[in-house]
Amino acid sequence: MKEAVITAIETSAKPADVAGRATWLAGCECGECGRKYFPKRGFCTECGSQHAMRDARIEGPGKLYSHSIIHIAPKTFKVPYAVGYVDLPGDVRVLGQIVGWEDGPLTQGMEMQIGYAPIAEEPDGSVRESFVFQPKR
Amino acid sequence: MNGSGEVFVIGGAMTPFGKHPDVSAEALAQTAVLEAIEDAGIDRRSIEAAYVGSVFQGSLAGQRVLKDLGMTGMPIINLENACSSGATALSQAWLAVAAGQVETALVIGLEKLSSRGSGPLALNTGDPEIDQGLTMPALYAMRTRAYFDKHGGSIEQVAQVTVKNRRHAATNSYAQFRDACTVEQVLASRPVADPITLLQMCPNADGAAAVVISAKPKETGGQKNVRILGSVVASGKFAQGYRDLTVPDISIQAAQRAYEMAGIGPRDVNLAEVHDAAAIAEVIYYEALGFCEPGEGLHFLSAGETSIGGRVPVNPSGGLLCRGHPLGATGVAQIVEIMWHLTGRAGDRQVEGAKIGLAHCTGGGIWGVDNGACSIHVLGV
Repeated sequence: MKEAVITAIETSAKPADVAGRATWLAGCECGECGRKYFPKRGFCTECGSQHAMRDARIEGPGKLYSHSIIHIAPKTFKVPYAVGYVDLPGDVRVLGQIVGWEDGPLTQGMEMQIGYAPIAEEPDGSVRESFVFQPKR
Repeated sequence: MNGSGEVFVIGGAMTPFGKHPDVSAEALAQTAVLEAIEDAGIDRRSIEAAYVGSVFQGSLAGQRVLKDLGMTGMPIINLENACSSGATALSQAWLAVAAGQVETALVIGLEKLSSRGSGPLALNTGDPEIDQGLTMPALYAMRTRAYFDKHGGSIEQVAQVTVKNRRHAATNSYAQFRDACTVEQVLASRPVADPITLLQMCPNADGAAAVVISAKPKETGGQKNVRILGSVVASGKFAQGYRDLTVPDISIQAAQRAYEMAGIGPRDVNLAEVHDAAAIAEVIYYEALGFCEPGEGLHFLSAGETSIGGRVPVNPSGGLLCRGHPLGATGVAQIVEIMWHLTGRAGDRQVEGAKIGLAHCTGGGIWGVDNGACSIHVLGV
């Protein structure tokens, strides 16, 4: 009889694990089918592999797909701020805040670099830091 | 149809949608239930099962509504599927009736949002996009921009959705917003998530709706019987990669299945209630539901094709933009509205000669899927 164990299919909900706080995101890649993910996950939704995931760098720069300047938001975020979907190489789309949006228009296809910045203030007063995107002007 | 038999919508009712801070969610739902039963012309004891959709109403919402009406003992099934909760409840009830498990079932949708404060509803935490600061209006804003980038168009054209739906709602006493408005007023309203302003987003609301469905047609004395021709629930497909925000795969897939089940095509639809949670959404859904070609939505709107009197009036009730969106209640209210039109009881906003109506409900923002849940029903006489 098979031993009863709980198989955790872990999906990291914390995207802020940016190694080196620099130019790439700490994602993963399926060793079976090659599908890349960010944030990291254990189970490959494409091919169904459960034990084939390995760490992978999701590199920038990417291209801006769409964005919005947000004026009404939960209190943790200081309005106005910009968010956007950035298409990173390898078919990985990531949503993040955009810093430097005040300095000029944002357009689809614009090159976006990965950065690191405070994005919110938690209810306890601490600052939430995360990867962000920045237009390459 | 998958089941063995035909299923009829024999009665329906809804409360006015709006802010009802002094009325409990249970009382709202009880009002709709009693009126729906009266509309069906049956004894309440002939109802054999109840299916109840809500999102934030807590455990056993259906039992809390029905126990005070002496309608317990039967199976009461409570369902949560975000904005599609009420429509999902109908789909499950339809299945039970079509399969012959019960002859007559009650469907309830209810929600009380005014007690949750104003502003955008708080979304689930632990979602990577929400943790970054994404809001539902911002997601619709990004869809708006993606639409312009792909097909062209302007925010003035998108604002026409609100103008049209306000015009439709003018005589709908169940709608929260009934005053006429102009494109200028829509664009001058409070910025929410650029380019979306307040009047491009549906308001929160309190409300309830109920329908009675049965394998036994209504004894109408000549009035038409409304049949459920298609009933579909779909979930959004998870994808990490690049996706086109103007192509809502969940709604397209659900529509294709619903049309196939009903044995009709989009050109056969005489009116539709669609999920205009934001103005841009209605335009995208014209295309997803096949009412016009991709990229033609804004032109289709400005040509008046989706106004009452046009080729396929969309949201003759005023839609979510005017009625308001008490999450679980919306899907059932759409069915009530369509039933009124198909039976010639929609008053001044009647879509004349309507024989086939489509209800489309979709929503639930979670990372990686277009929408969490979508439900489409096709009704006909």
